[in-house]
Parts: sequence; C-alpha cells; structure tokens
Amino acid sequence: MKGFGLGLRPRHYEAILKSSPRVEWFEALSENYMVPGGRPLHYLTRIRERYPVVLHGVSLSVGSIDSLDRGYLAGLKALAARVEPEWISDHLCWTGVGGRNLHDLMPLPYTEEALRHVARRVRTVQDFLGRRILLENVSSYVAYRKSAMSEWDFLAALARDADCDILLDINNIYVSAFNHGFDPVEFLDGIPAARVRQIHLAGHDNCGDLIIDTHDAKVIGPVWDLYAQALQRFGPVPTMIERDDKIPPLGTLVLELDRARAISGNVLRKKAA
Amino acid sequence: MRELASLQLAFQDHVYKPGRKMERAMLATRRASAARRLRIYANAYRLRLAEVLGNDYPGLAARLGEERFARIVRAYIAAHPSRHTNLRWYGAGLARFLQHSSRGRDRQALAELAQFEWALGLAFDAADAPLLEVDRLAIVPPADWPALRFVLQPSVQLLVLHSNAPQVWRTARAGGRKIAMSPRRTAVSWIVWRKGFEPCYRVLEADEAWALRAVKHGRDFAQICSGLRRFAGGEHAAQRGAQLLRNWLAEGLLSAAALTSRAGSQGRRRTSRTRRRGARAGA
Repeated sequence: MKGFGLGLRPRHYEAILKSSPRVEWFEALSENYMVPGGRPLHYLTRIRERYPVVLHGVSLSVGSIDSLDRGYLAGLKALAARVEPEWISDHLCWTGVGGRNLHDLMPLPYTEEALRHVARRVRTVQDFLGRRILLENVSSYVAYRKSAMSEWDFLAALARDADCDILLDINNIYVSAFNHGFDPVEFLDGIPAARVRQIHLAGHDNCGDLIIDTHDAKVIGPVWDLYAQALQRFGPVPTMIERDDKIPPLGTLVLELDRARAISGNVLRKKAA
Repeated sequence: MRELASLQLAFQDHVYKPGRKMERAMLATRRASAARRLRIYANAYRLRLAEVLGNDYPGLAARLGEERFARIVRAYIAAHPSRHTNLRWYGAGLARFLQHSSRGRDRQALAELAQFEWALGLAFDAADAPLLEVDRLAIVPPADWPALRFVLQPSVQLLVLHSNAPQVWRTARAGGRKIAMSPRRTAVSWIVWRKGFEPCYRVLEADEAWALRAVKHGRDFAQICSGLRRFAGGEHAAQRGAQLLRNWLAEGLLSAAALTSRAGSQGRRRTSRTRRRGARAGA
C-alpha cells in the first residue's frame, strides 16, 4: 500500500461516500468497530469497498504484565477477517494491570527485562493473528529511572527480536523529545528503515513546560520539518494525519494532507537526484 | 518480570490515588517535576472516562445539569475502575450505581433514565440481522401457522419502568422545558430497538408486552394467541395476535434468521411433505 491516508472518523462517513476524497487509504480505530453491528460496521464496510483500510488499535496492551486478552485478540482477528486490512497496528505501551484498564498509552521502562517480555508477547500476538503487526512509539510525559536504553534503541531491538514492524509517529517523537530533552533526529537515526511501514502525523498542545499529545490541532511546522527528515532517512512511507478531537470537515484534512504530499514529493525528488 | 510488574502496579495505583511513592521512580527535569508529569496521567484517566460517560449519557447529563452530572461521574469513576478492554462498555453500570449510591430522592427515576439511555446505546450498535418480511410469511401454509416461532431482532430490548424516564429523556435531549420526574404507581413496559441506524422506542400495551416476552421465550404463535385471550377475550385473541404481528413486521422487530415451526424440529416423525414445509418456513 502506498500514498497518503486519514484516520477514519464517524463525522466524515457520509462525506467520504459522497465525495470520494483524494485519499489513498483510511486508518480505522479497531475498537470502534469491535461492536456487534449497526452504523459503525455498515460504514466501515462501505468505505472498505472503495478504499484500502488499515486497522489501528489502542487496547492490545502488549507491554502489560497481565496475560494477553484472548477475547480481544479473537475480536480483532474476526474484524480483520471482515475488513481485510493491509496491516494491523497498536502501540508500544501497556494500558493496565490486574484486570483493570487505564485506557491510556502508558510508557514502558526501557529495560532488558521489559524487552524480553514485550518481544515474547508480540510474537504470540503475531502467531495468533497470522501476520506481522506494527507497533507505534507513544508520546510520553514520564521517563523511568530504571530505563537502561533509549526509546529508539528499545523499539529497534523489539522489531528485531519479535520480527514486527514499526508505525512511526513523528508528532510523538517531537512531543517526547521536548518532554524528555532528547534530540528527535537521534530517534530517527536509531530506527531501522526496513521496519518502518507507516507514519503518523498529528497536532498537540504545548503547555510551555510539557507538550500534551492532544491530536486536536494542525500539524505544526517543526513536526513537518521532522517528517521531511524522516522521509530523507526512510524513503517513501505511507503517511497519514491523525485527528481525534476538534475534528474539522473532511476537506480541511484533505488539504492538510496535501502538505504531506508536497513535502514527500520534494524530499524524494532531491533524494533521487 | 518482577521489576516491570512492580513499576506497572505502582504506576496504576498512582493513577487511581496519586501519592509521592511513584515520583521516586521517575526522572524530573528543571522544566517539569515528576509530580507534574505523573499528574498528566492521573488527570487524563479521569477526563477520558468522564468524556465517555458524557457521550453515552447525553440525556442524563442534560437533565442533571453540568455540575450534578460531573459530581455523579466523579463518584462513578472513583468507585468503578475500568475492567473493560473497550471503553464502549465502561458506562454499563451507571444505572445500578445511581440506584444504590445516589442519595437524592429522585434516584430511582435517575437510575431508570440511565437504564433507558444505555438501552438506546445498546440498540445503536447491536448485531445486524436480516428482517423478517411479509412475503416470507405469506408462503407459510395456514396449517403451519400455529407452530410458528419468531425471533426478535438483536437490538430489541424490553424494559419495565416505574417512572416517566423516556419522556424526561426526550425533553432533555430536545433542550425543552424540564418536566417533573415522577414515579408511577404501576410499571409501564417499553420497547427499545433499532430501525435502520436509528434507535427507536415506544410504550407497550400490557398485552403486547406480554406477547413480545412470549416471543422472546420461544412460545409459538398458537401459544401467543392463546395467552392473549386473557387480555382480549377469546374471540378477539387471534385477531389481536395477527394485528401485533403485522405491526412488528412493519416496525422491523422480527429477525428473518430463525423463523421456525415445530414441523422442522419434529420432522423425523412427520411426512416428508411436512418436513419440506417446515424447511421452507425456517430456511
């Protein structure tokens, strides 16, 4: 799958079907469609008839010490059988322990112990789903004293040990770099290019002392610059804009996506020259 | 995995009940302390769940007003750590919570308002099922009618309410003038279901409520008509049964998936002709 996509949001269902926007694919949030039936699944099916779709989850909790949720995995597998996504992704995080759920993308300590644990679970998930998955770097606000390696080293080692792919969120790299004081380019340099299958772009809220990853605003200039640097390193990677709140009309996001197309065109032309 | 387990348990505890312990496990910078950083997760947890409850219960929220709804939501979140993988189901316990934890005199009515609104939500994304069409019934031979069993479509829910919760909900959603929440002396039955993509609801007469429950419990058409005698009198029961059936078909309450007649299940003891008829009705 190639090109530029958007996160599929309910307020755009009708507009997508009526206007067939200039978007090469859509990313559907898995959990929104892991329901028995009705409007969400109806629209997903109709949009899938016209566009490639990828599934993006928030509940795998691949880093948790709890057992993997087999019910969730079975539901995800059933949804994948119905939607036939190009790929399935989730986040490098944990979402709860002891049978409880914080419904948040909680960061992991980057230790050898956590790496072994997560790699084992990713392999189990991939065996169950019968396909490789993509894991996304999350925005974080805390860093554990126990961490023994950088986030990018952890992600690269995980991709190698678990044989999984990477969904690189450029905004999340920017947010975490600001929050923890590392160089975002160093992050990009640490990621194995062959594993990067998809890129996310999004907006955030800069509170001065910390940046909160809100996904409720336009992509800012420095994130576009970092995206250009990512393309320089990784080449053409399917890219999308992720907007979860204050969602503008579809046409506005399609126009914002044009900026990604333009940057990509420039970078790749220069790279080829 | 001991270290990872202990960090995750401590972090989760911190989100539920922020304290100082977790701060020692996190790095701080000049710009932001560990406490400030951890607070983002604790706040986000509550905000996220409150948002979900607000989305699931807009009628209840409108009825209660911002402040009282927020108070109830805070109490619910404090009492109910999420055990759901999917946030879709987090609000399932709100009616019961209001029933047992709320102190107001209107707690019964509020619980019913929440119960009613949750039922609308369940109807919204209930499983799809092809609807039973009149044409399909038209080919059932008259002799097979008494043994016909119907199946309600998956979104159908039958509620028994002791208050005017549906009227209160409608007024609250429309932003109309607040109407009093009043308990009723006798319980009233309601049906909630989905027509197309839209959740619908209406009140049920006592005989229809009984008949729908009979359908739900697998009673055949003869048993339903027989049961209706107690409401309509012997001579009108079959007529009332047919009328209800027509309404249910028009409203899309019946699923085509499992229309069966006794002929199908007793086929081995019947003639091959009867088996074919049974299969036709139940295909």
